[in-house]
This record gives sequence, C-alpha cells and structure tokens, in this order.
Amino acid sequence: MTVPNEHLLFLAAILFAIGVCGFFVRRNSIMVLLSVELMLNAANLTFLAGSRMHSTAARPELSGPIFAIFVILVAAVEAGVGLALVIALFRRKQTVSLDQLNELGD
Amino acid sequence: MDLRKQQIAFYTALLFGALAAMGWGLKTAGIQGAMFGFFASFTLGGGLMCIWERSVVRSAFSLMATFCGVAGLFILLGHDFLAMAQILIYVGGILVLILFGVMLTPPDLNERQLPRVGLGVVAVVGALAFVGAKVAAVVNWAQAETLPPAETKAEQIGAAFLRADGYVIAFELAAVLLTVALVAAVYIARRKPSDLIDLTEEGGY
Amino acid sequence: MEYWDGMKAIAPELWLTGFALLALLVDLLTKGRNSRTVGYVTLAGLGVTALALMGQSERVTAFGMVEVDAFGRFFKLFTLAALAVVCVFVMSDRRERQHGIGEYYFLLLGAAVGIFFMVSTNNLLLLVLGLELLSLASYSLAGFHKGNKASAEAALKYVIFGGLSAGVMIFGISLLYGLTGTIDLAEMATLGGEGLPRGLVSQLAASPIPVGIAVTMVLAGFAYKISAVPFHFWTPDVYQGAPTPVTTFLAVASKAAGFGALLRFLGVMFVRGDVQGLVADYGGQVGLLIAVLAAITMTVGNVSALGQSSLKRLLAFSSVAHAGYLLMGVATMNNEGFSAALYYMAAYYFMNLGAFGVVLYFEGVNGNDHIDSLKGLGRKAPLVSIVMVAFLVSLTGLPPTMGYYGKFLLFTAAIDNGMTWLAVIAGLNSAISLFYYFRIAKALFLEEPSDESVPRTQPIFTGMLTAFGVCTVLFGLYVSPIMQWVVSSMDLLG
Repeated sequence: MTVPNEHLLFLAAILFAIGVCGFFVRRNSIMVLLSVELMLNAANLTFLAGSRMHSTAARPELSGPIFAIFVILVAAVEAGVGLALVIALFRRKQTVSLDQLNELGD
Repeated sequence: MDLRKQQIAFYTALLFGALAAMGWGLKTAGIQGAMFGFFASFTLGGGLMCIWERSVVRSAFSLMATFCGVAGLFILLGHDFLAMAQILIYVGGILVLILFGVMLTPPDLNERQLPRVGLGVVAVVGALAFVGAKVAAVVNWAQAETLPPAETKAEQIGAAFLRADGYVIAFELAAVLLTVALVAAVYIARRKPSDLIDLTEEGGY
Repeated sequence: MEYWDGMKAIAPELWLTGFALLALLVDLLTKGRNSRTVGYVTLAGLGVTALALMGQSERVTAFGMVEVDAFGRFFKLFTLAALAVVCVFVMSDRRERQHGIGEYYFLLLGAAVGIFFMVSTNNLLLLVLGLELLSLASYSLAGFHKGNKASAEAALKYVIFGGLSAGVMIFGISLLYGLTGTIDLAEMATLGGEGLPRGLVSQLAASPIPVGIAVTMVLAGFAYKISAVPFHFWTPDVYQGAPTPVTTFLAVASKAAGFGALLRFLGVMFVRGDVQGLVADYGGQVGLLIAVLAAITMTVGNVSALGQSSLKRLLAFSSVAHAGYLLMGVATMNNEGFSAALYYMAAYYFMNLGAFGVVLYFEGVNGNDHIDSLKGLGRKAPLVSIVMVAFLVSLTGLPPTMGYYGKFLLFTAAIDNGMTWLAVIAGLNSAISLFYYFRIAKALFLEEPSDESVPRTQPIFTGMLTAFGVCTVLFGLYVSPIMQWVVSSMDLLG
C-alpha cells in the first residue's frame, strides 16, 4: 500500500479520541462499553502501522499483528462480562443509565 | 436548530468528509489512496455516528461501519487473516451481543438530551487529537517508499502461536482467560429464583 | 524437550489452573451442597502451588516470555498467602455459603493465575493478558452478590473504569510497539538503532515526547490496578459494594500484583544495568512524574478518608493513600526504593488483611459497617478490638509495628534520592491519617455500647486475626526475617 504510515497513525489517534469522547459523553452503560471497543480498534490500527514500519522483506515483524489478535480477544471477553454485569444490574434496578447508579456512597 | 435539521447537517457533513477523503487519497496515492480514504471515512464516520446518535440501536449499528472499515484497512495493509477475525468476532460476535443487550434494556430517555458535550470533553478530545498528531509528526516513522508490505499469512500466525519460542504461552493464557470469562459471564447473567434474594441483608459471619 | 522444560518452569501456574478447574468440578459433583469441601480443595491448591514455587531456585526464562526469578516469586507467594486468608474469610462468612461457591473459588484462583503471569513477564502481550485475566475475575467477583443492588452497581462501575484504563493502556502499548518495534521490555531498553529505528534509545534521541506519551498511557493501566490518582474513582464504591472477602482480595492481592507488574515494567525498562544510558536518564524523569503522582495520591486518599462514615469506604481511601506511600518507593527508581516498597508491601499484607478481617467480623456482629455501630465494642469483644488497634497503629505508621519500619524505609529512600519534599508531604499525610484512624479506635474504646448483646465468636477466625496482630507488632520489632526475604527477592535489577 502506498499510503504513508502517518495517515494510518492519524486515523488511529482520531479514532481513539472519538472513543474517549464517547466514553465521557454517553450516559448509557452499554454505549460506554462500546466506546472502549473503539479505543481498542484504534490500538489495533496502531499495532499494524508499527508492524508495517519495522518489517523488512527478510524479517517480517509479526508481534504487532499477533498482539492485535489478542486485543480482539480481550475486547470480546470484556464486552461479554461487561454486558452480563449490565444485565444483572438491569434486573435489580430497571435502568442502565450511569446517572442512576446511586446505591453507593455515604 | 431542531433535531431533524441537525441530523441532516451531520450526515451531509459526514458524506462530504468521506468524499473529500477519497478524492484527496485518489489525488495523492492513486486507487489505493482512494480505498484508504473510503475505509477511513467508514471507520471515523461510524465512530462519530456512534457517539452522536441518540438512539442506542442506531449507535450500535453504526459501529458495524467502524468495524467493517477497520477490517477493510486490515486487508489494505495485507493482513487478511486479521481482517477475517475482525469481521467474525466484532461484527458477528460482539455486535450481536451488544444488540442483545440493547434489546433487553429499554430505551433510555436521558440519552435524548445529548448536549453533555461540555467544554471539558471537547478540550480533552482536542488534546488527544493533538497528542496523536504530535506522535505521528515527531517520530521518524519510515517513509512510504521504503516500507515493505507487512503481510501476515494464517500459516505464519499459526506457527507463531504454537512454537515454544513463539507465543504458545500467550495462546494458552488466552484459553484460560476465555474459560474464566465464560464462567464469570454465565454466573453473572443466569437467573435463578434464589439469585434475587439479597443475602447480605441477613447478618453474616 | 523445549516444551517440557518450559512446563517445568511454569509448574506453579499449571497447578493453580488445574486446581481452579478441580474446584469447579468438585462443586459440580457435590451439587453445591458441601461448600466447605470446595474451600478445602482451594486451600490445598494454594498449598501445592506454594510448594511448587518454593522448589524453584534457578533463574530461567520459560517459552521466551515467562521470567522465573525471586522477584516474581515474592509476589506469587504474597498472592497465595493473601488468597489463603481470603478463602478462610469466605469459609467463615455465613452469607457466602449459599450458592455459586464453586464459581467463587474458581474465579479467585483464575485471578491468581492472571497475577502469576503479570508479575513474571517482560513481555507486554503476556502482561496485558494477565492483567485482563485478573480484571475480568475481579469484575465478576465484585458483582458476585447478584441479589444485592450495591454489589451489582459496584461491579458495573469497576468494569467501566477498567475498560477505560485497559483501552488507554493497550493504546499506549501499541504506541510503544510502533516506536520500538518490539513488545519485549528488555529489548526496548537495550536495543540501539542500527538500520531501522528499533529500541527506545533511537526514539529518545529523536524526541522524548512520543515516548513520554506512550509510557504515561501505559502507566494509566497500572494506576488503575493500584488505585492511584487520577484512576482511583472506582475504589471507594467498589470496596464498599463488593462482598467483603472480595474487597480484601482487591485491596491486597490485586493491588500488590499491580505494584509487582509496575516495578518490573519500570525496572526492566529504565533501571536495570544493561539499559542504554539515554533510556536510564529518561527513567529519572519518569520517576519524577511518579513522585508527583505519589504526592497527589496520598493527599487525596487521606483527605477524602477524613469524612467517611462507612468503614469499608474509609479503608478504601486509606488504601489509596497507601498506594501513594508505596509509589514513593517506586519513584526513586533504584534498588533501595524498590526494596522499601517490597517491605512495605509485606507490612501492608498483615495490617490490611487484618483490618479487613476485623471489618468482616464487625459486619457480622452489627449487620453494617458504619463507624457509629462500633461504639463500645471494645468492651464486648476486647480481643478483636485490641488487635484492630494494632492494625490501626501500623496503618498510621507509628512504632512498634511493621508499618512504622516500612514507612521509615520509604522515607529514607526518598530522602536519599533527593526527594525530601516528597518525604515531607508523606509525613504530613501520616499526621492527617492519624485523625481518621483514631476515630475508629475512639468509637471502639471511648464510647458507651448502645446495647448489651454479646457477639458470637468463631475461634479459628478470631485466632487468625490475633495472629496477624501479633505478626504486625512482632515483625515491626524483629525486622530481619522479612527484610532478608525482601533483599533476596530483589534480583530484578541485577
């Protein structure tokens, strides 16, 4: 591919920023968990950009793509457990809004 | 501006942004540049929609655009195995899971008033974008001409997973991670009548 | 043969995983009727793992990723000891015996597997996987009382902040990888740029800013695990809402694991003898950043603890403050400070496990954890109350306790390394902490009981608490056994 690596990194940085923005803006806990997925996708793009930069024809740099596979796995398990917890909370409180998490505190 | 007009303005801006990205890519890097612009605008457009849309269902679906866009970028970079894993796991797995979650919980009325986008958040995002730009600009990232295509074949990845000097231990730990996540998620989400009794209310110890 | 040698080197981890599955199986076979059996299986698993750990003496690298060394062994034995106590807590807590006990022990052991890997690897991939394993198990353990709104809410808060910190940390790691071309910490620190710009040194020569951004983002992940400011928001809520044995686990084992991984990360990357000069210099600046974080963390923790009325919340803020004290040792970025942090960790083990055990005991007596409900318990349960005072004295850092000697070591390390200002702030903080620790003691002894009921006691439980109290004082007076262990464990930098 002839697109310079910088563009890929810009793209990843902006995607990460969108994820962080979503994390703080949204009040629905499901959407907050989804924003984390955006951040992890941005990390994956950066991993591939890094792998591309450090590879030579003789020695392909594999740890980036392999890390990316594990990041996908981590995203999957976090989404799974996170949603299970959202549903468990919903059964008790009939809400998934972060604004209504008020059981704890003094 | 009312809601309807805002939406029209937002999507028009997204469309023009995407067209501009593709056009610019075509001009600077040929057909591959245009492809890059296409997938990049999918990725970012989906992400923006996800945090802009008030309806949770629309947000969740707009993430499909992001995930597919990222998968397209993976293919463009030569990592077809990764792209397939991305589509299978994200679009096929995580997104379906999320939609289940969305459907099990009712629409949230608070979400209707979006403008919680305070100045602080805008500042944070601006700073982050600046950081990204800084990292990309300052570092001596290699130039495009000297870059070899970094490609991974499924065989290479499979071999790396199973060689003793490769990633076999990470692979095995991932298996433990999945088992723990499975048990945890099943325990938390399953419902038995006895689960709903608040055991902490009778004194313990 | 390569596989076989590697398997032998990670035998403790394998035993732990095996016993985790066994606990689940035993629960299944006894149909959850006999929860004590599962507890004994878990304790047996911890014992076998400890034996396997103590059998290791040589320093090897298994599978190119797992470092088997005395430093890792310190944190692994620490985790096992903490888990054993948590198991006893679970077994003596009537509320925990009802259902899902197999999953409870399985998740505890699974979290331990995660800790084992995260404290013994130089490889960022394995670090992330171990950290995630620990996090996932902790999320679900925090929400284990599904019937309780507070528990469910605590778990959700935990998972949401955990997701943010994991995202930030993994993005930071991806930047580090892009900058250096490797995910191995030792390689990052030692490689120097021939041909392609590999290794940290060539990037630092070009510009330190991107490296700083990447390292800060990775530190965010650790800050979350050790509940340092600004990633401490979850701490009071989760500690309050989670079941008390789980809170104990989070406060002791999970925090120690975070510190173990942080020390290894910083030590291998910036401090070890074989790192490039430029990188080691840069490590000094990272140490300064950590020193500032330490000062803010301990101040925020102590000041917030002042107004708390729930004991668990109070101890949560106190644990934030202690993270600050421990970071003081980390910030020195040398052997002296790291050893001091290790010693303080051992002190933290005794005094915090003890304090949470007493909270569990009082919770059982009163049905809640408010400080007001402690009134006059000093007369009704004198032994536990006196022991609690020993823990409080140690947490404040007064002699003759382990907490005092640990703080002495930390202060000395900070002053020796030109961070007198940090030691002064820490001293002021210890003075602040006296106020809220004294409030508990005052409620116990100086106020009249509200009724005349006599609490039930469990001899094993009370005996264990007393043993912790004795240890806290004894090892404070007779420091050499623990100190020797700490010194022999600091082979990280050698």
